[in-house]
Amino acid sequence: MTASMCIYIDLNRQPAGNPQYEVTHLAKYILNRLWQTVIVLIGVTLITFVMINIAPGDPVAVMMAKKADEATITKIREQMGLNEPLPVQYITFLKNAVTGDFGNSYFQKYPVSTLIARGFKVTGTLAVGVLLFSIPFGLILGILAAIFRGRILDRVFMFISTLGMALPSFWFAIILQLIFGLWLKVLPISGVNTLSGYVLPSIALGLIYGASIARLTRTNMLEVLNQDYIRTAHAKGVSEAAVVLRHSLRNAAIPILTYLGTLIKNILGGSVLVETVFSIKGLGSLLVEGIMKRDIPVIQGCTIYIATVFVIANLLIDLLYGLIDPRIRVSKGGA
Amino acid sequence: MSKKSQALPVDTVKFSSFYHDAFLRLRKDKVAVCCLAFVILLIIVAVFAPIIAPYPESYQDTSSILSGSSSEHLLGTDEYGRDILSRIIYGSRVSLMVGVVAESIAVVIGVTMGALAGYYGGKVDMVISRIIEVFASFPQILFAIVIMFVLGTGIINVFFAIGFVGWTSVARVIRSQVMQLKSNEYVEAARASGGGNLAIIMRHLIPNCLSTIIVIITMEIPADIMYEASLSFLGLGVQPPQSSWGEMINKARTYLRANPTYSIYPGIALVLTVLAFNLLGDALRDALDPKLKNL
Amino acid sequence: MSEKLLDVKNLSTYFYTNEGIVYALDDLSFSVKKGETLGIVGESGSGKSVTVLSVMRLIQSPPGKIVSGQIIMNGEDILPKSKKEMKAIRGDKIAMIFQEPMTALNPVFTIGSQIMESLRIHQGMSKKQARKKAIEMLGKVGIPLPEKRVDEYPHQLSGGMRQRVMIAIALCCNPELLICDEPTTALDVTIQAQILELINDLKKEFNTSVLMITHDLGVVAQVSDNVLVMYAGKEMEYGSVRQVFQKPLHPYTRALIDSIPTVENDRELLHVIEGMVPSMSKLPGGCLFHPRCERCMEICKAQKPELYHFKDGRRVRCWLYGKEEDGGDSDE
Repeated sequence: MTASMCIYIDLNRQPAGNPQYEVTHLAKYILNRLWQTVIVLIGVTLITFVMINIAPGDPVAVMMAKKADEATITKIREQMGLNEPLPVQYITFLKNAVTGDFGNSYFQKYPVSTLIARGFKVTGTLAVGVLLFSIPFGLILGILAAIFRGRILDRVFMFISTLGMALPSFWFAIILQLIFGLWLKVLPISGVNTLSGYVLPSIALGLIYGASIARLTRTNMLEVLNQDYIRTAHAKGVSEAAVVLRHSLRNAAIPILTYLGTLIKNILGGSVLVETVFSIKGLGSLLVEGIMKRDIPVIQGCTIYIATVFVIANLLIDLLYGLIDPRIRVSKGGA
Repeated sequence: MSKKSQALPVDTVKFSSFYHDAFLRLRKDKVAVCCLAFVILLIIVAVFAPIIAPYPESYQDTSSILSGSSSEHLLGTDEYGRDILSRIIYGSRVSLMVGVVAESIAVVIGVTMGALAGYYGGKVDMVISRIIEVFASFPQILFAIVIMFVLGTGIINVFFAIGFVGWTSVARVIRSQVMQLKSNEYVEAARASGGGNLAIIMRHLIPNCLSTIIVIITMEIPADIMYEASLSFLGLGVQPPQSSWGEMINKARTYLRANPTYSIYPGIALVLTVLAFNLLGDALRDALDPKLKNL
Repeated sequence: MSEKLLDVKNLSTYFYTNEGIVYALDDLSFSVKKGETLGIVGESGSGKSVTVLSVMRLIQSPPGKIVSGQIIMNGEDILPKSKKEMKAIRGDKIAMIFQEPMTALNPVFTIGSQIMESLRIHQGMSKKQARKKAIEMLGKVGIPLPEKRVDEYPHQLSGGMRQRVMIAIALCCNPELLICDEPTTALDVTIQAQILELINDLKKEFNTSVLMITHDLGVVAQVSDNVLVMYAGKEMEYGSVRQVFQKPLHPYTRALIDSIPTVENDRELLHVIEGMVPSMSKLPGGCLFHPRCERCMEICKAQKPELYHFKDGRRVRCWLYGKEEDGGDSDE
């Protein structure tokens, strides 16, 4: 995919139109997105803070497991700053959040940031595995379905795609465990001690998301293949392969790139279920465990961290989009 | 196509012929008809569960625990000896209820927010759009999980959690639709004849979004059903002895070696239901407005 | 008399659709000599675009199919050639420019790279050589500051400029035949004139024959040597531009010429040809034009007229002609 998607990151090149106007056009676009991101992140912290504080139950009482008396609880609350008015608490919380300090876990003996880092390593690797499986799977299925539109291959692939989109990830993970772990005994079904432990979980999520990508790719490819410039390419004597890979793919891939953001969000969400099935200690299970035990710092930290990852990923994708599509990157100057 | 009686007033003919045409188009699609039949079947099963299910939901047949298919228990039994088939049938109630209730909540919130943002534009739109973005930056499952933490477990809370998580997709679409529609002439006409903003929104704009709303509902219901199953799978949703497909799959995990089909059957029910709603949603969208293909 | 570059014989292209067979081209024959510009004229739906797409073998099949005929280029029939061989011909020996310059260029590639692509495929040039030639071509088609604009994207150019780029792409490999499918229809009238003049000039410089498809008789008059009038997939009349315009034979041709609005005329109403072009899957019996013809006779309704060849090279398909007194003989 990368070879044919030559990305022109070329801000040093002498622009052909009015140079000043072009630079400001791109700069404006970037600044706008950055500003939006900041606002959204603040909103994220606000919502998380509000939700945590609405939840019933006194966190300190939970933490002390009701073993302490009133006086001690009040003292600890004082220490933790929990007696301050809520807006002040929020500001403190926000300040800490920016530096990545979410305090210490109530139940595990580590600061939340350490736990998140550990969890992120695992979930991040899983995410990479899912992307490695789903993107090629989806692209190939989608492209082939578009090229052989209407024929049997198209119908079969689209059936697989529709089916894939209806599979519950946790159930499919269990099926994979059954087939590859218990019956065929070729892959591990729990833990990620070795890299092979990531294979089944990646396929479990990857197939499902790959199915969506396949559908999207097919639609986009069909639209592109119908365009006039494809006919021009044929009239120039360009080979079929080059028409598909070079001329069409780049145009069709641009909308798929915007789907990448949603994909990352879904992976972050879906990983919870898959991690549970395969007993993997990732970010998702950290959050769920934290909820089960009412470990507030962990819940706060995880929620904000995950949302932030998604928001920043989106930002990066939007910027990348602006760089790839010359219609956005280069202003409409010139005669 | 329309063999309508000539006596009908013009706008009635137009209104009913639009949906009539859509219905005819839908009828032609064999896949859609199958899915619709399946959904109707599901509704019947859910409503008449006590009559259809061979055993009551929590009846424990202690003589056969974790058994496979047999003549008494067509799909086998679980770890308490409860009939899996019956539990699957009762589980359909939970899934359908979630689909209806959670989605209704999502639609009410979503249509309101979307319409306000689309109609008023400007600052209102900016604020609401930012809110939508914030809500949409949490992966839905995780957000639902956190809401369950706030509200506590149980089926009612599941409805709220899922509804609260799902309104953003509705809001986005309604917002863009309203923005398109508000430049239509009948809106100006309504304003000119003294209609207040609220009246315009309620009486003119929202009804015209009806087909969009129908399509969105049909496409979001399967997602809601999946969320419920996921929440129950994690133990946060429906509590035993009530049966939910997700909860059954969770319990089945422990007994994977002993009775693998225990985990397979509820999953098949889930897959078929989601598939049916997905395909039906696609067909409805094609029938009502092919321009919505980007949804 | 120069030799024939392109000789199309009995070309038939049908489209097999769910609603029936569309007879887009039926037994069409024409030729283009070296250095000649042939204009093919007709209303929308007459089959003129299908003709050139068939010559280029760019017909989508399914549902289309070149059912029979011969397309002889330089003495060789290119119809039976393989896909690979056709790829070598397209862009190199026969080049084509299309109607919509707005959408005919790939938006994500620079105009330079789109010209260079042709050069590198057909002439095996290196990037450096190709770029040099591309700049040269841009200059030839009248784009100012070609060294700068070669790196621009299509959306940065106006419609007229884009069409010039298309011409540059088409001519860069020195094709023997240039096919222009309504190249000026989407452009302003003033730009139209410029583009046509450009094609005329370049035709001489590159020694290319031109096949010009258009519905606009004004375009035909400006650039063509000979003109072929098509209707519903069949040839109706053929002759030199002078002959056809001064003395149109076929009633259809005459009606087309009459319906050109002119400033001099006192006529208040525009002259219109009654009726509509028939749907290709439901063609009328007898002469295809008879339902709309001012001079329709009984025989026109019943029998299809043959193509009648005059001694001076003119051809017409009409029951008004074909008697021995006219000094010619029938064909087929």
